[in-house]
Amino acid sequence: MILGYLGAGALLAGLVLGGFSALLSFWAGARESAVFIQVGRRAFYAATAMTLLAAVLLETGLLTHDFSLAYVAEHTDLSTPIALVAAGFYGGQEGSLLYWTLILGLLGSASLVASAVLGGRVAAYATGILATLLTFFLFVLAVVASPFELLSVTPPDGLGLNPVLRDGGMLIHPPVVLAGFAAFAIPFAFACAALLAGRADSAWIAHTRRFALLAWGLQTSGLLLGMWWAYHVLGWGGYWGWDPVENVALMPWLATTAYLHSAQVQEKRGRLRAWNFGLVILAFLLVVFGTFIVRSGVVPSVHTFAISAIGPWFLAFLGVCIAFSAVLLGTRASSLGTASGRPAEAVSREGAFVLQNVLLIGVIAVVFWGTVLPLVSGMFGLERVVSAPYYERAAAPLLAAVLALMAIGPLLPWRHAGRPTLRALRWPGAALALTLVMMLGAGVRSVAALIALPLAAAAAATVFTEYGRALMRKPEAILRGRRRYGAYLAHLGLVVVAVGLAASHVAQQEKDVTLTPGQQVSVAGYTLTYTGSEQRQDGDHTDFIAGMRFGDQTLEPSRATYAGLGGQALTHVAISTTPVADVYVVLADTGSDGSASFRVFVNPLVTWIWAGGAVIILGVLLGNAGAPSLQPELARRRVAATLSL
Amino acid sequence: MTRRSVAIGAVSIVLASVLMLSLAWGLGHAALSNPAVLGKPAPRLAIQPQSGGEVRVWELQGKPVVLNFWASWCGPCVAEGGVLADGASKHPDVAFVGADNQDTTAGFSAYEQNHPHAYPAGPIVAGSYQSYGVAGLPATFFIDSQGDVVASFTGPLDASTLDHYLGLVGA
Repeated sequence: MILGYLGAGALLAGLVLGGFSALLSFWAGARESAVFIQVGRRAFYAATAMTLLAAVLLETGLLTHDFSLAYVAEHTDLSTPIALVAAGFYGGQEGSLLYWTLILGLLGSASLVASAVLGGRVAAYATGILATLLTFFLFVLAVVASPFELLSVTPPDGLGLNPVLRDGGMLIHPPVVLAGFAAFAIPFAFACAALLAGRADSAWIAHTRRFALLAWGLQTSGLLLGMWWAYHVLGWGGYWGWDPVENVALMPWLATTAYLHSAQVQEKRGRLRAWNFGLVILAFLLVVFGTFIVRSGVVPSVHTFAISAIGPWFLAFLGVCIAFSAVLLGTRASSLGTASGRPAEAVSREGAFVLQNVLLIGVIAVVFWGTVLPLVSGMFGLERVVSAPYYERAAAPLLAAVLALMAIGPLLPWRHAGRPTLRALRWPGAALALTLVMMLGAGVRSVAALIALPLAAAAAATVFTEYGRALMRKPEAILRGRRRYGAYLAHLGLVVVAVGLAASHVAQQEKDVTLTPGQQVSVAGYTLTYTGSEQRQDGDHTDFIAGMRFGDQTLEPSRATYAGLGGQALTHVAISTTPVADVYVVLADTGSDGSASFRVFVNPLVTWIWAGGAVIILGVLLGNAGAPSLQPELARRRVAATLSL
Repeated sequence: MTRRSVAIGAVSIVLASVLMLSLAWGLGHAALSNPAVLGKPAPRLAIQPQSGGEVRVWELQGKPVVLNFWASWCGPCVAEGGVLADGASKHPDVAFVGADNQDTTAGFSAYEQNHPHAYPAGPIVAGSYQSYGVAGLPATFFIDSQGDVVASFTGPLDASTLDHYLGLVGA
């Protein structure tokens, strides 16, 4: 009970401090009052500290099974394993909002610590924008959807967690995705602050580069972890279903990817200034849009939270964000000007980045339209929905073009590409031709595969060419150019993921069979023998386990039936990973005569998706590891700014 | 301002307005469907009302069923109580069932004293809220006369929302 009062108090205190920080920072920024700018910043830190306190209190309530808290009673019970009880913190609507807010506060604070280097006004406006965002979330938490709501009667036990969520993947996927979203508020805040202050230079990009990269790395990991969970737990043989909630997580990732590239054009060449502001704002608006979609339940999805009163608040928040961004861009972007000097030619590094941006925006448009179509058409009484074929047909050609750009772009010089570039392109060209010939020779006739895999080979060849060149000339260049070579590593990871996606999508095979013990089934050349089934009692559920001999190993797909849960059944997939394919067996049913029905999938190269993810993370770490991101002068000013805190 | 920027501005405003309007429309029509049970036969569930006996959802086939999961400790459940009571009296051809979750006997009795249900309501004695994928209270499931779950709604119902869903099960 006391936790509830303390937690609500902490949220309220945070709300007051956040609001104070926002108002004071905007006022102080306009007046360029150094003292008040600092006070505003410190108020932001204090609001973050209050959010942290509230988070600690909620976690304490969860771990001590304090069922007087409605949140604890609704999301955990006494039989929930302790790790999942702890994860209940972000398992429900209110708690995950608190988590979002906490990450926003912590990363926001980190980004503000040395922000004075950007000049008093930009720093103050950035504080003001971050504090406004924090205040909105704290308002929702304190007033609309509090995780500290108390029950009038303390129930003896909680409602517990849906069995499908009782999985290790659930411990890590949500916090990573949410942190990736929250992290992108930092580039957004500094971009808007620079616009408000009328600063057209790229200092804000340099200052927030690490946060943008962090956001991208977290979003990438979050998406892949979600796919991994769906593949291992849901048992439908796939990992991506174009679910609205998957879509709204993919769109900010695409926009962030576009921004990481176009930002370089501004940093290196002083161009695309307005475009970069627009992209950062777009990425953040997509985050807010996604948050609204997930939390309001306006579209049916596997991820929807319980409906609560927060839908209208988030809609209003999205509306305010859109209006604010549009007015800001509309009034300030035209005055940004462009760099002097000769414009770049179309065939150049800049040209490749612009084309890549346009393609990614195209993919966003496709996904966005598919996501909002049920709502837009519903408003006119039509209720249209689109499914996977729409997304695949519309987005796949664009993504194939992005893959082609990954092969060509890194080899193009800035401004102008001449003859040496053509020579450099011989390696990816050769890889493309060789792969194509080999695939045709091997009898592959799928057009999608014949396009995607050779392009992937070319993109990989480009990365190897760049690394090879550096290693032959001076290996230390890789360490000095960590940012560049980290990016190449991320490219390589994406190529590996793309190969996994293409192969498993194009060449998946499946078969439904009912077998009696001793019978065999063959799918895509893999033969499995059914050895019989058995029944085991395990705690609160009964497991029906079937044995499938596959080579020298035995796969044991099973179904758990929870008698206490009205006979709810959960499947446990058995997967055998070989270097070229996953053999994925789902137990569909068991008969009284010892027979069993199976769905057997052979999914080629799925492991590549997870392995590629690991390579991407390595690339992000290399690109972010202590690389000097500032000119010496800016760095010196940053130290001074930090000391004057 | 050039004509071009006016045109861009106008198009942006129209697009943003359509988007916001459709999102707002979505909020008013939030069908928080539960893919696990939607379109499938309603999982077995029975409750024991205070008057004794058992009400079994699977025996109610032949008429539409409104199955409401609630608890005495759930504030929003009290709030929607009146709406459900009105609905039950207006639609005598629909079976309303209240399934009490994770409650104490004392809590249940006290609730029935203060806010007596106008239709059978009581603790679950067969089946479980989890077989319906209920993750928060209140949650209401709309089952048609063939016994299939047609729609579900999580959160407190208001009269117009209840009418909308009753229409879906042919009441």
